[in-house]
Amino acid sequence: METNRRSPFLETKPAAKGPIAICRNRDINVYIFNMNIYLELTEKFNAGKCRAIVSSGQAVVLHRLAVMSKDGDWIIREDAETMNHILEVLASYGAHYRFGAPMDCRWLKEGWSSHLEFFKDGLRIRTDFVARPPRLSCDELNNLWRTQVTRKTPVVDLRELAELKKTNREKDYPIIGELARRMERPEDRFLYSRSVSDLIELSERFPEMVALLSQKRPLLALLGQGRESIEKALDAERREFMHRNEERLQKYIQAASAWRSRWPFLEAQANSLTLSQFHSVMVAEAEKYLPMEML
Amino acid sequence: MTPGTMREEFLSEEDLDLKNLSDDELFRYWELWLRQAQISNDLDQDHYSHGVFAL
Repeated sequence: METNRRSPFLETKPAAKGPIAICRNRDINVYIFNMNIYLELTEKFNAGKCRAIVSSGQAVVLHRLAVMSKDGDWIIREDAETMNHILEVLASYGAHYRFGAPMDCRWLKEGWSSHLEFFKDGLRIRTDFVARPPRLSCDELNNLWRTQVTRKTPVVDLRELAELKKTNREKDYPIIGELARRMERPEDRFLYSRSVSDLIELSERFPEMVALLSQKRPLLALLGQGRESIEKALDAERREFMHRNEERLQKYIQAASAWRSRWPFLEAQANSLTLSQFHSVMVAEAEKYLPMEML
Repeated sequence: MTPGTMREEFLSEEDLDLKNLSDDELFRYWELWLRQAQISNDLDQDHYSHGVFAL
């Protein structure tokens, strides 16, 4: 239901205003007071070259769907310059590694993720990075970089975001449902909708697309057979997506078991080393304890 | 109305309202939300929301 009611959060006194930071994007024009930390980081990551695309929770905010995540997620380029640059930026904030893979192409190109954290102005800022996001093919990933390279604030588009949200978490599926409602192409709405009503309405408007698209999404073949069968198929499809993601994660978690055992000994050195020094130690240890070949 | 024929609602009114906000309002709301969410830092200290360590 559309509403013009303002959020009660906005009734509170606005934060003190600093210098105006201007962030221009082809699709998202943003004028901000006291630049948001995730946009600030994105701007620094991308200084001089497009290296990092805002993904997941903060992309959901930038698409104005929901504010639901404390953490920042980025898809980053798979090259050493990118990873060194991002580590330098994070070092300037006093960041430290959390348990995860080192930010190094040899692991990130195999789907591993890197996780760092720092505190700034009373906020705990977590930064998560992947170079091979799940469920995006190489062609889709290449196309993502092509389309984002000219943007001031690179952020995954609706379709890619919907793929990334096919996780094992229930709370991501309403987001996919809302993303589908924002998609322009009826083909995409058919493929991502989580709403029986929307699917029935689409099938009435574009009946010629149903048979073709049901090859990609089998539950579309049930359109015309009553709401209940589609409701059951949507539930089953969601569970299948969740299980598939769990299986993917389980493979990584099992492969990381020796690394997990080793981590506390490594982490104990963090306070006495700079991020760059710690990274070098971490890479040397990961070469022994964290397998590279995963995909 | 026949049961099950209402259009599904996926998000809260606050979330659905985000698209009506000015850029400045959106960023103030985002900042306030982040600040309020810090209250759960102790609870999700070992939590991974994304990546391959997030099971």
